[in-house]
Amino acid sequence: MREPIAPRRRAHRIRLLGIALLAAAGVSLAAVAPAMAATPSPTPTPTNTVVQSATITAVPQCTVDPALGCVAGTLNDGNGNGVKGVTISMSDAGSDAASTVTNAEGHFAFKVSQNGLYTLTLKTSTLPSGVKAAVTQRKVQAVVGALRAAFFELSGSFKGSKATTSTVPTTFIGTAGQLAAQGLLLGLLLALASIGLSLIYGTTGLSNFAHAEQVTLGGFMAYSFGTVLGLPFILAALAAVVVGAASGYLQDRFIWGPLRKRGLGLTQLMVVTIGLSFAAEYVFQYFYGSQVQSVSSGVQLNTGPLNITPAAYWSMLVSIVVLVLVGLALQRTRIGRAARAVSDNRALAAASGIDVDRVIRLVWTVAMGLAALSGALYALVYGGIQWSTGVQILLLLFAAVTLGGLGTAFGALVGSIVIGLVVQLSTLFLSNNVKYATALFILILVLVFRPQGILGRKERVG
Amino acid sequence: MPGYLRPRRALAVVAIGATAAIALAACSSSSGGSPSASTTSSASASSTTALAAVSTCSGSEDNSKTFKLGTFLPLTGSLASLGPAAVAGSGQALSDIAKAGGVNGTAPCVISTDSSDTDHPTIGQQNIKKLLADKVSAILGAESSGVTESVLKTVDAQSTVMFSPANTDDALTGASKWYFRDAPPNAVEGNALGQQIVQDGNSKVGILVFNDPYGTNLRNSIQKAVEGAGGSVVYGAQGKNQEFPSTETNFTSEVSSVIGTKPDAIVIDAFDQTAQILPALASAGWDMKKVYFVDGNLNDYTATKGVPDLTGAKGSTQGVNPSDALKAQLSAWYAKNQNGGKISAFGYAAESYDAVVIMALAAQIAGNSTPAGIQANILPVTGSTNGTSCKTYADCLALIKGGNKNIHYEGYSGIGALNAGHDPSSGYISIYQYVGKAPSKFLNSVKG
Repeated sequence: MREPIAPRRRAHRIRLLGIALLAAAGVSLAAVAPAMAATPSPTPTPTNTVVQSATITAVPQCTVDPALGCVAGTLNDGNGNGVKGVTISMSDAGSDAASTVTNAEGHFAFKVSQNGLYTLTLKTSTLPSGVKAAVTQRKVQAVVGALRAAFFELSGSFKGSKATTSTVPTTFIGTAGQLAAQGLLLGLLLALASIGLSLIYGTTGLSNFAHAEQVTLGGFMAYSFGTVLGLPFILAALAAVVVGAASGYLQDRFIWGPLRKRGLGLTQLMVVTIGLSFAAEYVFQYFYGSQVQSVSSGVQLNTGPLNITPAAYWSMLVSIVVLVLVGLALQRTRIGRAARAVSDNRALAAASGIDVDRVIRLVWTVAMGLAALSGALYALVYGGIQWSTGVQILLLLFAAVTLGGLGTAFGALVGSIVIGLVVQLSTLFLSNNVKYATALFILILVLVFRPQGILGRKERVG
Repeated sequence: MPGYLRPRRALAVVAIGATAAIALAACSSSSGGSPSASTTSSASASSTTALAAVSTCSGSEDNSKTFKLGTFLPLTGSLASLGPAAVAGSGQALSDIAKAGGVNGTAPCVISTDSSDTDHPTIGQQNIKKLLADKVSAILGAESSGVTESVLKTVDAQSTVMFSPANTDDALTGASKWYFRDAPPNAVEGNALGQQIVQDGNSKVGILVFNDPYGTNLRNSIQKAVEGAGGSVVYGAQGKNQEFPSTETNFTSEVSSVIGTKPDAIVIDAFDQTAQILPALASAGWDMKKVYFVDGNLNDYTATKGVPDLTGAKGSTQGVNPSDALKAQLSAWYAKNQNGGKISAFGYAAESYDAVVIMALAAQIAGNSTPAGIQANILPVTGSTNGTSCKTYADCLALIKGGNKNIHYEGYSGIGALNAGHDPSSGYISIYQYVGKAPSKFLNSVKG
């Protein structure tokens, strides 16, 4: 029976706890080598069957039963379409033989009543013109009670055979273009979440490990309002943002605000966020179970110049608009300037008359709203949401924030897009298995040469 | 609010605040309607009707005189959908045993517990301790290999028989002298699925496999079968490092990579990740008829909106497809004894039934139902000594009472004799085909 894989995730999660060990985490990710214990294939027990005169019978479709074995196959041309009307014969070591003609799907089947080595022969003269067989004879060890496949490779195509099309590009440039689009999309979704993470770090100095759960919360809210309550996705996403923002406001009102007033150290606060993150994961599992919950309404084909789904185009557009609005608000509005002032120097900001607590509360509210939006779009674009979805991108969020420069909003945006692009484009050259490790390796490289991050200022470090 | 919570009022309020919305919304969504862990109703043990459930053990029975079965099945958690079939299978077996005259002349009794899943290990640990404390003769369960692995040490230390109707992890072969199973290990499934894929005319196979022992072991056996039949694995092959991490949530690049290798068919060898892989495959224009599932993800995706129509896709799962007669019988039993409950999936029902009958016959041959007596006689009952074959508990019991202690029970599951590693030497793999989004069309049951 299948086994859930949570223990490994939890181990992964514990590894996360030491933020100082981001690098170590990257290396250990890379070191996860596929477990590949060789599994011996079982040797079927030979069954003693009564010797019958006719051991081979041609049948249209073969269904195995305890006294019968099947040898069957399908002839497909180079386009993957079934080739009909081809004569296939099968014989045993003795004189017994049978022959059949492939049906409209190119399928042929024989049933046998005895174990043994059988020889199948394809009559080349019956192949349609344009189709060639590389091998015309194949030996199959048939076993009573089992199905054995017989395969003949054909090349070329018969008249009227259509090539199957898929939207996946096959050229290197095409693949790179599609991966870059996917990377930009991932980067924008990460940016929605990481900007909030960065703002919270900037204004309060806190590394919020529960931030990823806010992303998950957004996804689940989109699921609850959209899939469960039946609202259109746009309304469900809006509701998710409202719930996310409300949770941010309430968190600061009832946890972070009081804890700040009591002067709790940053380390203790960080531990509180870790606790909150665990608690939230279990709450999600309690209400939503451990399976993936889907928010999309149907299947969409990849289209357009970027070769991504319409939902992905919309998600990118929404992300860009929201990120620009957040950027403008930070630059142009009074409260945005106040937030940046608090981020620069909290004591000075307080001294110059800025209500620091009010700014921080607003930052929490906005950050959590953005995280919820990120979660809702993530669930839409990547086929669903699960209790652990957030945790799985937490490392990427921290990487994006650190890469861009801790505490800088635009740094988080740039860092997220770099991470998104590296994750996707690395698969052009490296295994999918190490795509996140590659992103984290880039992070280490950048930090070695530019410790303050891409957009960070030097004095912030140390 | 209890007084001891007061100092933490702030936290509690926040917890409520942050989750109130979830609670509101989730109330209307069923999070996998788990059957309650109710024990079977206490119908009279001496009842002779085929549907009457045996009584719940009072705890005072002597396990050498009364066959005390402890069931350890997934009543809650991620495998809860498989629970009813096993509950009905084992319950029906006990009813049949009681009807035929019990074990060593005494009606059996049952203690039903919940194994839950590996995400909730404490539930399983507690219930195993309860069963061991009650000194059961034998334990039926668990269904999840992971749960079995986590409790087997405890059971082994207490020298109690544990018989799983559904464990398929290759690592459990020969795990303990007290551990048995009648579901074939994964390697058997990989072989059957590989043959099916090539039989359908697919020679180039792409495998989307996750980096987990379940996934990679099964992949290895699929690959071996495909290559043995003349095909090749073009993506995800052993040693190519193309497995995806089990924590992956974004499959766009995997899907691009696998389709880029131009496979004839794609095997999705994963668990839950499948719900996110399928939409990505559909977006890339992949023909769902050319998708193959494994037992870990051969699920009904009807309720998952983003999943495309899967009609024509195929998948394999361990175990035999129970006959319609058995299905009807088990449905009737379940409805009668579980307040009108319905069984939606019959996976491992036959295996659960047979496991209970095999253990009861072993106890009958031993002359007592202690774990040691049962343990010593399980292998012969499954046919390891080529005994006289019999097909029902009543028939086998008549043979034993007639003085023939070398019997071979041939039950519903159709397994070959258990071997030295306590695995079935052969077993059945069923191939199902999707109609819509549910794997409802039974195609073939092949022996592996």
